[in-house]
This record gives sequence, C-alpha cells and structure tokens, in this order.
Amino acid sequence: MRFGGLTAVEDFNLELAPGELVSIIGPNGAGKTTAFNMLTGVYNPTTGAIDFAGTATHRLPPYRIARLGVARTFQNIRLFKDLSVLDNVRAAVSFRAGYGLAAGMLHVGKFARRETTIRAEAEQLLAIFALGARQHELARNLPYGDQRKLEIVRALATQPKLLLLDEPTSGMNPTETVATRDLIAQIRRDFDLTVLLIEHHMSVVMNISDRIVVLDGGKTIAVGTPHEVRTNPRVIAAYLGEAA
Amino acid sequence: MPTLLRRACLLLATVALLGAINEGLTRVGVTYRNTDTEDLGKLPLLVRLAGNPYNVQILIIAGVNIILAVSLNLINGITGQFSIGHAGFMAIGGYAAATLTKFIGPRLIEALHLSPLGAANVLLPLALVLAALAAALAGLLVGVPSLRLKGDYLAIVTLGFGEIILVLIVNIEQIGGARGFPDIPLYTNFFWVYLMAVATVATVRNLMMSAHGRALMAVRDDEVAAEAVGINTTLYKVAAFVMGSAFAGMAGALQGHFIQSLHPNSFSFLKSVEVLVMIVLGGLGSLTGSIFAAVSLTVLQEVLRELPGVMWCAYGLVALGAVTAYPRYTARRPLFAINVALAVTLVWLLFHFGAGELEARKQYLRMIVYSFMLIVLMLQRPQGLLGRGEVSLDWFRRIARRRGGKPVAA
Repeated sequence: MRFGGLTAVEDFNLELAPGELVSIIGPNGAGKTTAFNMLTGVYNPTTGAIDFAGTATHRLPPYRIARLGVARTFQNIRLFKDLSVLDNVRAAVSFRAGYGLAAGMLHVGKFARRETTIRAEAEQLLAIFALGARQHELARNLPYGDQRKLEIVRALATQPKLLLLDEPTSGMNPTETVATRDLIAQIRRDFDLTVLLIEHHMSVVMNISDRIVVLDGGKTIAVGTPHEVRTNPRVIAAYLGEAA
Repeated sequence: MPTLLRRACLLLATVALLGAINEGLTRVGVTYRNTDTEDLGKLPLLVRLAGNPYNVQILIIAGVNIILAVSLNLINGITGQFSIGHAGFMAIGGYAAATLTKFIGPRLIEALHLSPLGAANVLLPLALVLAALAAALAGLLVGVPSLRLKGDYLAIVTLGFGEIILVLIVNIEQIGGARGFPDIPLYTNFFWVYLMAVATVATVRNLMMSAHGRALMAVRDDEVAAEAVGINTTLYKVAAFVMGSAFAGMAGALQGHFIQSLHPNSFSFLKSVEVLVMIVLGGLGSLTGSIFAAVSLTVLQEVLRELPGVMWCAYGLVALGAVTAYPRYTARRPLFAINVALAVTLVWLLFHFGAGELEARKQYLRMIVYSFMLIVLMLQRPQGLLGRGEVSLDWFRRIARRRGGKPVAA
C-alpha cells in the first residue's frame, strides 16, 4: 500500500485459519491500521490481493466486505454518537433489514415482524455485554469503556466471521484492560469467530494470541507464537532499539 | 392484513378531517366576502380569522413550507448531507406541474368532461405526481455524481444547480421565461396542501423509525463506520436526496397552483436559504422542530410586516434590557456588541427621522430584525429549538412520569 511516495505497508502476507486469534503488533506508524483499512476496503491495496472465504475482496467497497462477514472496530472510537445505544446496534443490522424502502416508509408488509426480530436480536446482544440497562441512552453519553464495548457489540451485530479489533484496550487502566482481554476471549469462544487484533498491551497480546505478526516500517519482521516472537532478536531490536 | 387496514382507516380519517376543514374554510370565506366591510367586526372571531383570505394564504404557504422544511431535513438533518439548492427542485416541480395543467389540462378536461371541481381534483394529483417525478429525476442527476464523493461537494453542486435551473427557466419562452409563468389554474386549496404535508411528515417519520432510517442517521453520524457495518452509504445518500427533492418538487407544484403564477425570482438562492434557516432553527434532524419553525417563520414574516415603525425601537430597547439583565448574554461579547449596536441604531433612527419615516422604511427594518432574531437564537441554542428531539405523545408522557416520579423531599 503506497500513499504517494510513502509505502505504508509492503509484503504483508498473512493467512488466517478459522477460529484463530492473531495479533498484529509493532511500533507507531508500522502500518497496522493501514493493514486493517485494506482488509476492510477503506483503502484498495496498490498491489496484491486479499481473499476472504473464497471471495476476492481487495477491490470491493467496504460495505460489501462487511456484508461478507468482516467486521471491525476503530482505533479512535467511531460510534453513531447521536443514536441511542440500541440504535447503534440496530443500524448494524439494517443491511439485512429484510424489507424495502417502501415498506419502511409506510410501515407495512414485513416491517412489523422484521422490526420485532431485529429489536430482540439487538437487545439480546446488548444484554450479553451488560449494556442492556443503557440501551436508550445516546451513545455519546456512555462512559469510555462502554463506548469501546458498544463498538464491539455493533461489529458483532453484523454477524461477522472475522472480527478486526483496532486497539480495543487503548486508553484503559489495568483493570479494564484485563476485563477487555477476557471479553475478547469470551467473544471468540461464544461467537465462533476468527479474530485479528491490533494491540499495544503486551499482557493482552501474549496471553490470548495464537500467533503474532510484528510489523515495523510497513514490513513484516516476525511471525510466530507468542513465545517465538518474544525471543526474536529483530522484534526486541525494533521495540527496544538496536544494541549499541 | 391488519396493519394495512389500520393504515387505510387512518388515511381515510385524515382525508375526512382535512376535507371537513377545507369545506369549513370555503364557507367561512364566502360569508366573509359577502359581509360589508363595516359589518366585519360583528362576525365571530373565528369567522373573522378563518374567513380572511390573507390569513388563509398564510396558512397555505405555511403548509408548503412544512413540506419544504421536512423534506430538506431528510437530506440535511437526518442524512447529514448539506444541500443548499432546495428551491431549484421546487422550481422544477412547479414548472413541470404548471406545464401539465396549462397545456395538457384543458384537453383532458374536454376529453373527460370534467367539472371545474373535478378538474382540480383530477389534474392536481396528476400534476403533483409529475412534479415529484421530475424533481426526483433532477435529484438523481445531481445526486449521483456528487454523493459518491465523501465531503461537502453536494453543497457546491446544489448551489450551482439552483442557478442553472433559473437560467434555464429564464431562457425557455414557452414557460414564460424571465416574465414568469402566468395564469396557472387555481387548484391548490387547504385540503391538498395539508394532505401532502401530512403525507410528507408521515413518510419521513416512518422512515426514521425503520431500519433504513437508522441507516441514514448512521451515515450522518459517521460515514466510515456506517460502511463498516454493511451500509451502502452512497445508495442511502442518493435515496434520501432524491426523496427530499421529490417532496420539494411537490411543494413547488402546490405553490404554483395556489399563487397562480411562477417566477424564477421566487426560486432563487434566497428561497433555499429560507428553508435552510427553518430546519436549522427547528433543529437539524427534528421533524416537529421543522414543522414548528416552518409555521412560525411564515407567520413571523407576515406579522413583522404589520408592525408599526415605532415598535422596532421599542424592540431595540427591550432587547438591550434583556441582554444586559441576562448574565449569559453579557458573557457572549459578539452578541452583546451586536445587540447594543442594533439598539443604538434604532434609537438614533427614531430621533433622526421620527416615527413616520421609520414607518415608511419598515420593509427594510423587517429583514434586519428577522435576521437579528435568528442570530440570537443561533447563539443561544446552536442545536436549534428542539435539537434532535421530537415533541410527541411519548415526550409528554415522559415529562409526566418525571413529575410524578419525583421523590418528595422530607
């Protein structure tokens, strides 16, 4: 992926097995979020291909990729701030509303039946993540931790097969970080998902990852199990600087 | 299907109610016109108000403005796309409808042997459909290229579009050109305007409370996130824009068949701004806010016309007093400065020219005060009167609950 003269990510090569949890780590500017943006169609890669469950996705618009089953959260939270918590989740279901624009304008046809289902589905999801009590509040009024959580719930509402989490614990204190780590493990188990995680907290990464990809300056410098990565000299150099 | 049946009943009830009011207005109007000027004071107040053709005109223009404001709110407030060319779509609808009723209308009347009343009730709906379709088509042509892009391109394109439409109209001799489209039959009445207003509000409200409406609001709040949850943002933006344009076209048709002429000047950029002011004032994204602002601004503009010149000076002094007495105002330096300047100017004008001169110049003062009120409101409530809230039965219920549920202090 190149932006003018800047090559943000190059030779990024990763294959995910179903159910796997892979973390991408690396210093700031390593190209982690750019990789996410390519996977979700925000950017089209300058060269190379992306294949998701047999579909080439690297030329598809973001909404098509989302409908195929790739959901994501954002590094700086991007909720629908002026919608209620419930509507944030319901908005993520709108692409499979099951009724057309005309039925929506007149509230006829499948409208009532589908809306009941959609609402039940959204409420159930919110209840799982203990946000049910706050479902009528505006998303902007939620505390920070709950906003992060709501973003994950919203992503899950699209019924993804692959979930991309962009720094889900950024800005959190140690207690919240541990809680989020457990949450990710729980989601992966309960929703039968493949998870790709960008994370800076090593306690989280080392604990829950099956594999870790280390990026630096847009290049992949190491791939392996947490143990392999931890002992890799190039990773240590990238993180701690070259030994003098 | 029970919902369908309920909808049909609701529609019938609305039609009956509006029809009854329309009939009442017509009868009262006849009474009013048949009464001698000196005897008018003896009529009951309601008859005097509802019979006065000037008041009825304000009522109908207010209805047209409701359609305009609610439809622009669908584009700007609900979908978050900044359109400033609403008058252009209004013009397209108005001219398309007038072309139909004036050039094809007489032939249809002859072929179908329509009575004058029948002509209105057959031709106006046809004209409305044509107006909506024509404006929707124009909306599609403008919307598709500009809404595919992210950012504020729509504002620039709609601004240009509004001007292009006016130039086109001015150069088509068959529809009157710069002189305007004359002698359009009078088909619009209270019934049709408010039926269309109810239809517009109901459609947009239903849409907002559906999955598609939530998709529109998601696009408004965060386009990137909306795409990421599977919402085809371009499609929804274009759909909202086309729908908004169609309603604007209808409003244009209603206005044309009420005023009985169309003039390019009445669809200038100023008209677009007027509608924009309504929705910003009522609250972007609030339907009841739009309705309220559309009605009150229509009425306010007329009331200000009637106010005697001295009142402006009184207003200036009151404003100055209110401003200085209200601590939040004084904290806002620019507002304070504007208010002081206005008050001083008005008082100076009064002493310099005298009340009689001011009376003669009140046409200009009207716009100054009008814009001044808008400035005050925007500084005080930048989110508009209602923000994104709605006044509904639910709202009243919530207030009642809060009152009732409040724990009594010991």
